[in-house]
Amino acid sequence: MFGIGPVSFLNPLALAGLAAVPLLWWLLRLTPPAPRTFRFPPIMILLRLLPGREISAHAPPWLVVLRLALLLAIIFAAAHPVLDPARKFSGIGPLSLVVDDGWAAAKNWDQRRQTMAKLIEQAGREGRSVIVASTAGSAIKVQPQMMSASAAATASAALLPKPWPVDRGPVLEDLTAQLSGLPPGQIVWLSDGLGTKETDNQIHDLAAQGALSLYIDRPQALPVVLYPPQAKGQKLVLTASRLQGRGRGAYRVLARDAAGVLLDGIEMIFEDGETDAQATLDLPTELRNRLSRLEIEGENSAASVLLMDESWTLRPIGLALPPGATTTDADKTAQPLLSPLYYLERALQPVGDVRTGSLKDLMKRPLAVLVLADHGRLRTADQDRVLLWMENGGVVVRFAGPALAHAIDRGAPAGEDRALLLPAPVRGGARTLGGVLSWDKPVRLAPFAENSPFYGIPVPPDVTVTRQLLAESETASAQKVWARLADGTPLISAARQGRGWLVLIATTADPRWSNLALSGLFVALLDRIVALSQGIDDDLAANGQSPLSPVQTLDGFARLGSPPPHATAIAESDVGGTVAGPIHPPGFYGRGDTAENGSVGYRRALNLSPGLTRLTAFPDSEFDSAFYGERRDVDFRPWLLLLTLALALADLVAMIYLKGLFRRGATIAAVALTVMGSTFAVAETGVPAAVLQTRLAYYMTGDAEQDAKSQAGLRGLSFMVNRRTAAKLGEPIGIDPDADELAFYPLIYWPLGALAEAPSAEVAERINGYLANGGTILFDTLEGDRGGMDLTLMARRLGLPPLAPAGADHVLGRAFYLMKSFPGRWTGGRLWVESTSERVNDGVSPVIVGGNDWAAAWAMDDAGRPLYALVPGGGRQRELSYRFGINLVMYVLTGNYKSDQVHLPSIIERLRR
Amino acid sequence: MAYQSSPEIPTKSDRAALLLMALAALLVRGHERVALLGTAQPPSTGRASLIRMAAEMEQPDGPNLIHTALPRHGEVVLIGDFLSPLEDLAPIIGGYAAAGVRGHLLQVLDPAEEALPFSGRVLFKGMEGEGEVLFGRVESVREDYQKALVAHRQGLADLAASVGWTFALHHTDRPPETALLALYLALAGAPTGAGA
Repeated sequence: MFGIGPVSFLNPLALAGLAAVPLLWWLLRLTPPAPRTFRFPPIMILLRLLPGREISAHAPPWLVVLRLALLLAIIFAAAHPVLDPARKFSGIGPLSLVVDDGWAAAKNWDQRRQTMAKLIEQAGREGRSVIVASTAGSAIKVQPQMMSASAAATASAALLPKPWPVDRGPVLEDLTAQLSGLPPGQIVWLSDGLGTKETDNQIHDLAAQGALSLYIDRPQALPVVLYPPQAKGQKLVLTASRLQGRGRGAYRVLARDAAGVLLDGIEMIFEDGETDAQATLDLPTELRNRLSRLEIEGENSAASVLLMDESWTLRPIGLALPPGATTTDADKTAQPLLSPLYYLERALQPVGDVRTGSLKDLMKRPLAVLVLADHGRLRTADQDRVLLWMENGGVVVRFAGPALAHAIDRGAPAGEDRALLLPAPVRGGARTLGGVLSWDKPVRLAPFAENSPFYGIPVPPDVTVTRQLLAESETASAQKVWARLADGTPLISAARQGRGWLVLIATTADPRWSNLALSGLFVALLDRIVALSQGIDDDLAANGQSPLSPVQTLDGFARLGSPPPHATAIAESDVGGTVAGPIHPPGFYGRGDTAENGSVGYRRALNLSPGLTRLTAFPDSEFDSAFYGERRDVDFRPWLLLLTLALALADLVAMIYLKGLFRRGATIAAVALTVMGSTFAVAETGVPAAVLQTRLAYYMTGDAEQDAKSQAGLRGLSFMVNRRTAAKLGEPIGIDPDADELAFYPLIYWPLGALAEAPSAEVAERINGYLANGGTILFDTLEGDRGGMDLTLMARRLGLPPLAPAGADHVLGRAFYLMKSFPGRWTGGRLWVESTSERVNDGVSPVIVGGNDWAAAWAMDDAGRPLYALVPGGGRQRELSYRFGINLVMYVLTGNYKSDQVHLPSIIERLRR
Repeated sequence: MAYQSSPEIPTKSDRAALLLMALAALLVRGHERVALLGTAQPPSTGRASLIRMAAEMEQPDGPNLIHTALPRHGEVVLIGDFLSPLEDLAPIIGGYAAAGVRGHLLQVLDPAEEALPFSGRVLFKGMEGEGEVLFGRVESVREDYQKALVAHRQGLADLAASVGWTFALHHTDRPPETALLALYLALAGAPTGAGA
């Protein structure tokens, strides 16, 4: 890199262009701008002036200078000058890079790597060797090595963030030891943004070895940690924390299944000033049981990901109703505290997905645990089903009770003791302790034996059993006793059934025989039993010492992959307490034996975040520190490019000036405007005539005679309306509802002859839309009151509102003329309008139905002579029919205007007369 | 002559033609006989001769100053920009004067020709193929140009005066009536005559 003082050129070859500048100077001077040309008559006189003048063939000097400046700006911009104050490394010793490559470094790793590369490159230029000390450590301890810059570049490029926290102490000690014998050099610490109590001291210790400079993360680039959720029933409450509380932070937590399919995403909001945030994930059971990974979107550190093992899955637990009961309603309403289901439901709710129902219904869906509370003998079909299910890994928990005791008392057919579905034969009758006729007191539970799955659960002293069922012979059977009373009698016994379990709790699940159901122990016991249902085999459940080997582990970027070679197995019981580290990277641990049925086998998840201490930020220090990716150098290139542009513009302006184009500019602009204006071409389309002028319309029936009559009638009416009122109607139009847009017509005259057909459904829909949006249709049955077509079908198709005869007070009788009847060709027929005076369409009835064949009455030829005779006839009837027509047009055009109270007095006055 | 410095101002030839026809019309009204120089037509009077003159003006070659024999005591009116060198004009005027013809010169100029309102780098081209001349800065020669133009005009006026002719100047941005009046008065002062 070639440089002049503090300015260096990233692309120095471009400076070779400077050699061409003198040549260009000469060229520019010799190449004047083209002159303006004028034709000028008195050129003779000018020619005579010429000998005394020197004609300037050179460009004006200021133009030459301007262009040279432009050229220089381009050359320098191409050379990319940078003001780089990066000082040389201090001292003469090696460059020591302390690289935090713990989980927190993953988020910003690219910038870290670039920073490393830059520093190592500088070390190479200065001919220094480099020591790279990565603080996260690994399973195999590696001493920081001094190496050449090129080797260090390779080594640093291979460095990746680790999915565990940094452990700086030993590494820094090693580094210090190595540096002590060397001349002091530069030490650069690329921190991951996290600090501990010792960090401050470590910084100072390092500073004693050489000039120290630090790289720290920008506050917004600091990582977020997602902690294991708490199960609240069906819901999972997620907690996350961040390093700094400034500002509001919105994150999204994604829930994925093992295949990476997104199950749900929830918002996680850090309020301003808060470093912790909570969010609740509520997934349906089926989805929740597929949950395999929770991650914060956009974060890629191992601590932002939670692997979810099967301990988080909700197991479906079936509570079988006694054969008699059909629903739980009876229990719930009558005496819930007497029902064992009441206690079981509450105890099992947090553990799994509890379903209650008849045995048959329960078995229809997959179940993990089936609880039979005081069931007697099962029906054979049920029993076979349960047995088969247990062979495949189901767990049956049976509680004793009066019903079971009774079933035992009645006895079973010989050799069919399994028919009662008990782990071992049980004696008939229940043993009563502390009863009236007994010497004994109610018995407490003995502490759980080590080989019991309940081992470790404290036994509360106040739990006593007053009645129980007794096994006939303990030793003879294959049963295992999981809990005993203080006097040694088995209380909970179990037997392996294929891959499943059959568990008998020899007392009731309600307080009748024991207060066990009232104690916390009940919940704990059921919890353990349900935990069995995932197929933990006997021995493991007993000691928990079998090792779980890493199956899949997270890498530094929280990607699940095959475990590194140094990852070692964890004892199952220790999984909860293990802190993820180099030898136990976070991930899934389990017995990798993939079962024949294709299931993955037993897995436990080891997560990083539970083992993390509370996050604290990397301390501020007095040493030289910088943010990652922070540019300390000043890049001149954009400014030079800007200058180039400005000079080019100035040159353009100068050229325009020299060409004398300024005065012509206005003209050119005007021409341009004219051209633009002319490009607006108006596309002439077929505008319906009704848009331009109000017109009446009639429905074209297809019957030529009727259509002609409608046309003539409406033309006559329009003529009358135009003559007598302020309305100006155009030529009427025949419309076809199949094809024409109806919205332009205020009134459609629809003659319904005897042959008229109800419109099709699509047409009916269009007509309904027309009516709903303010249109009005006058249906004319043409036949007076004597008949005409049946309107029922039509009405049904069109969804017509309920109709009622138009009374004398209807607006139609007052809209223009005061009328009592509405004669057309016939008289006397009633006029039907919408019955309710709804405030829709301005009170205008969308439908007017009558049968007076008005079109015939209105029809006139070109000379204004009527075309049809009226019945009974007479000029008065014709006049009245026109008056009705005018009223109708006024009605549809002006709405309820005439029904206003304003005009009432004068109307009453007229009516009185 | 077909020069106009801006669209608002008529070309010099248009203005000259207008003046010529107006003058001829006035003269015909006074029963003078007129003819266009350079045409073979003898001077005549009446509307027909006006129409004939107008038609002759429209000819592509138009009037020219080729010395033609004129009746004695006739009068000659020459309208033009007279920007040709004086040496070229002198024999023509002298020729007419020697024939005992009185004459009147009217120089028609565009205001731009008077002011040279250009600046910067300008290439001037002649209207009739006189060549071209380039000035780096026209402003610098403006004063000299104006001096030269005035000198040329003075030479023209001296030339006219030397043979007892009148000389007048007209700019195309001014109303033609004044020039016409001046011409008419100059002609009216003469006892008799014919010409164009």
